[in-house]
Amino acid sequence: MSTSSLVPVLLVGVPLSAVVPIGLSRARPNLREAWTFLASVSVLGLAVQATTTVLDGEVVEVGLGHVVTGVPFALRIDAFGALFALLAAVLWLVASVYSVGYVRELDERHQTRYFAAFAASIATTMGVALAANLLTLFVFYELLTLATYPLVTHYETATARRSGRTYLAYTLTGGVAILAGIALVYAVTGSVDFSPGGVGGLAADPTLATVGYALLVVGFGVKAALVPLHGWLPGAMVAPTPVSGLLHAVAVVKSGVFGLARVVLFVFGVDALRSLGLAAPLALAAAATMLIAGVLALRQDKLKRGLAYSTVSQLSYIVLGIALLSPTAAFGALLHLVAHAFMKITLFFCAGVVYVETHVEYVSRMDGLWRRLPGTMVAFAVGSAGLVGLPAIAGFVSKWYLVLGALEADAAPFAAVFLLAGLLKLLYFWPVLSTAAGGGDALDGFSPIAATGGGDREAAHDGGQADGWERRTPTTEATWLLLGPLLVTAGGAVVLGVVPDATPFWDLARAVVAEVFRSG
Amino acid sequence: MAEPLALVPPGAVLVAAAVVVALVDRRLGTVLGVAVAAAVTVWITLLPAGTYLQGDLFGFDVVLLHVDPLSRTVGAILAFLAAATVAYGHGTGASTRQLALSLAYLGTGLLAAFAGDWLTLVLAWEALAVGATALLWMNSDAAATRAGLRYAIYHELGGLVLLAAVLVHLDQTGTLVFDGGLHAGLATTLGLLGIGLNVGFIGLHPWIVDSYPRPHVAASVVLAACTTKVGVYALARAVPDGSVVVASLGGAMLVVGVTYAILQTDLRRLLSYHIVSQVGIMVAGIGVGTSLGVAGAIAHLVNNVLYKSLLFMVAGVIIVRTGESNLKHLGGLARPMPGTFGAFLVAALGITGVPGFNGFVSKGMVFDAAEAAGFDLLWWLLVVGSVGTVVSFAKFGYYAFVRQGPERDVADAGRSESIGLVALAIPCLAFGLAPGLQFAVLPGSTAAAKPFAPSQFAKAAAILGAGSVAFVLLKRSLSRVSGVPDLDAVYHPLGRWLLWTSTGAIGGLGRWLDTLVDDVAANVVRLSSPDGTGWMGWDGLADDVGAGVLLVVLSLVALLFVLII
Repeated sequence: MSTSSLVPVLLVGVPLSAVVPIGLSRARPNLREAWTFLASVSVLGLAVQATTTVLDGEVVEVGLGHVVTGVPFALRIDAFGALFALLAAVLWLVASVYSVGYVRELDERHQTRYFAAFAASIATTMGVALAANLLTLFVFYELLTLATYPLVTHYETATARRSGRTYLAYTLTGGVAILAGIALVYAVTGSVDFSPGGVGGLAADPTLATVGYALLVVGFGVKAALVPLHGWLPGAMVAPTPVSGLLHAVAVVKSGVFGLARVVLFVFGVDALRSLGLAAPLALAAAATMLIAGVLALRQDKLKRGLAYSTVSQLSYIVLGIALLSPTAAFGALLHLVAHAFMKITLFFCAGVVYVETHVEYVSRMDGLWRRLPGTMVAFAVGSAGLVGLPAIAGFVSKWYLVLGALEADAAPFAAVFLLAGLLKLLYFWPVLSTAAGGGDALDGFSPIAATGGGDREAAHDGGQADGWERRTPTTEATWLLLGPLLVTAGGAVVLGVVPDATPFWDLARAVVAEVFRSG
Repeated sequence: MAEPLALVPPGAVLVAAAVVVALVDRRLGTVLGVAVAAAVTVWITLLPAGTYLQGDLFGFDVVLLHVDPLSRTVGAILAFLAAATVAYGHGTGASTRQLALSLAYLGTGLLAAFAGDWLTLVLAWEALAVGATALLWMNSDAAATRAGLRYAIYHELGGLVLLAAVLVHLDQTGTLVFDGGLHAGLATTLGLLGIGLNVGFIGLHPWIVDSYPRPHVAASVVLAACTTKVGVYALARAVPDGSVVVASLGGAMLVVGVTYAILQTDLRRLLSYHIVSQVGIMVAGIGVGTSLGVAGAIAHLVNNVLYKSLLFMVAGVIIVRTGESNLKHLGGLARPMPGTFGAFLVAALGITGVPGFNGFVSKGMVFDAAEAAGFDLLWWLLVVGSVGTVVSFAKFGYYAFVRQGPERDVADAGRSESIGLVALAIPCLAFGLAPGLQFAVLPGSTAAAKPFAPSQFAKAAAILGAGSVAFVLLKRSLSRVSGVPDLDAVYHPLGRWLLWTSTGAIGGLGRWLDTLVDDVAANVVRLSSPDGTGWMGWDGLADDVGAGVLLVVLSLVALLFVLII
């Protein structure tokens, strides 16, 4: 085993082994957090190392024995895996800082369990990213579900338990479908290894291949939150906000998207899906999800739920981009995977600061909040504008490539769906920003949020709070442990919108597309 | 071949100046803003034609600074307006932030005007929409905030359609750099729709009259001058050789805009309808597409920015001094406000095309271009629209300044406002008396322009005469009209209804899907524990999740094992 083949093992192993010292340092919080930071900095270094290796054109693979006969348990760093691993590593470091600020400001219970589960979740996410075949991916995918369960039920309230149950029911049922799909693929081809352009041989038995594909899509579709499999995600927002931000906007949901992309691009392959005609149904489901979830978001008064529906919609941008089977659209999808991560984590971080500083959870109660949290709201505006797809923020670049890819694939209706979904984001985010800026009454009659009685609106709007907030400056609005991370991620979204090609994500996405669409 | 004047786009300098203005003292900021904008105006007029700052923006060739007579003329007038409007804004009490935002907004207008490719243009286009929304939002009441949301929705839609047009163009041609208009077919159709929203084609115009009368008076001046003009500029790029459809749309804008304008009583709403009609003249010139047509359209763009901004400034001074914006409640202001009245006269004579003022020259060019190219119907529409314009400004002048009104002890425009008024009034006269000053810089060809041919005078006299007579005859009936509905009376309730029903219907669908899948998921778990209380029971799962879930995973792995063997 050479040194470079240690990298994938360490990427999984370091956060996993950090769980132990974190658990043992229960009595000394500063030491405990030091372990988290040590692990996340090491993981970031390893991810950078992996990225460099991949961009040099090298693929690292390391076998760790066999799960079952014929299917090795193996890790492998290719461009796609490195992209996901690097993204998760960068955001874990940022989210760790934020987590410390968050749990300490709120004086949360079970902080040790929280940080341990967080590290375990990252370890399994790395496993998903670096799995060399479907079965290995599946094992980590299921473990990720388990590792995040304690975080969803963190508050141990009835609601939290109910949401946790729903979470498990959805994702584990999806897991069964994945497993069956893997078995069918293996039965037809004798291999479940990832190979750019597909494993080949699937066309030999179109029926079994189609059934296997359907099972895999439904299974991964649960975490990718394709409507109607999305029901668990809004409920999972009961978790502490850093969890919603990193896991339920990035790691967990994107492991579903990642799995789908692996199935489409690396197992079935573009050619096989074209000849079987299997991409169109997935594309339709994704397009429907984008629009339905975009509209569902409009009626959410609870900020985090609205963001969750927005995530549902955004994940399908990526899925649709993959399903279009066009190099440009796939490139856009990979860019959006990164872009959405930076923008959405920023928005969740902002929601968290709002909660920590003011205990406000509902949009209708954010009246005039800009005055109290100016820096946070500017970051929120940046994230929102990015999701709408306005220029100079990451979302514009990915939208540009996605729409262009749809046009290149002669799928103009899907291009229109991408654009329309952007308009829905404007309709969702405007009232939030407008309310925060102190124009709460301006919602009257135009925003569905303000006027929906009932639903999520447990708290009646008592209004007139616009002038009630104390005016503060960015230096005094919140602790830097909270404000720093969200400014970093908002800045990242801007960098990705202005000079995306200066980031490694760009090169990695290019490499993935070159690899997958080699023949084309 | 580094051209020392072309190292940065002029728009970027204005945006940078805006940042500084936002941070310094208000008075210093005003002086600085005026100075920088004036310097940028001079700089732009000196820029030699050429293509500068070529680069690469996320994988595509772009040109950040593309100088030709078209971009130079549009750029120069926007920069000039920036200087005038900062001075005026200071006088009318605009906040430092608003002054800074105005500069930044006009800066993005400049970025759009000097873009040499469609990607840069789209980026600047959307930034312009964001800036305009923010200007509408600032210091506004609830009604104006709602109008801001509508503005954002209109322009998001327009921006998306333009983006689609550009991407179709890219897909068809493989390049984004300007090279003779948008690709024919779908790209041009979408482009006309997207750009048409900004210029206010009839049917796409309600946002203009919905939003421009509402914000701070200084913001109205800036907004009225920039967004529609950048639209006209983009139209000239999209269909450089003209189009009968575009010419007809221009004629319709002129006549419909004027008709509605005559029926208005709110100062700024009246002027906003004149934006529609005046832009119609420019659109008509571009639609005619001959070199005289384009030259006339752009000359009219410049002249219109001058006198229309002046009119909005006059309206703003009246509103600030009297607190009244309805013509029905004004009157007799010529006596207490002679300076403002003088500015009004210059602008009104300009917009109605009186010889010696700038509108006379450029409108004559578009008239001649339409006639020479055989657009007879358009020519008559131009005549009708011009007569209507005379009626409308006779009305404005009569009700605001001339007729006997309530006694008001109001001051005239102050020093800072006057700087803005005078700065705009002088070129209105200069370009009217010496058209050659303007001809030197225009795109297209002014060789065929005959500004002082006898026929021009005859036509102007006929139009002015007809308009004056018409006003006298219509005055009594006009005074009874108020509140004429426009398409916004259809669009806005329709949009609200669409939003409500779709969120309601899809919300219902979403809940139904949720319960459906919840049931399935619950049954899956229950199946493995028929009595519902065993180790896989619903409640047991939550309480003892570790063991339960682990068993699920192990059983799955076992299943796989069996399947594979």
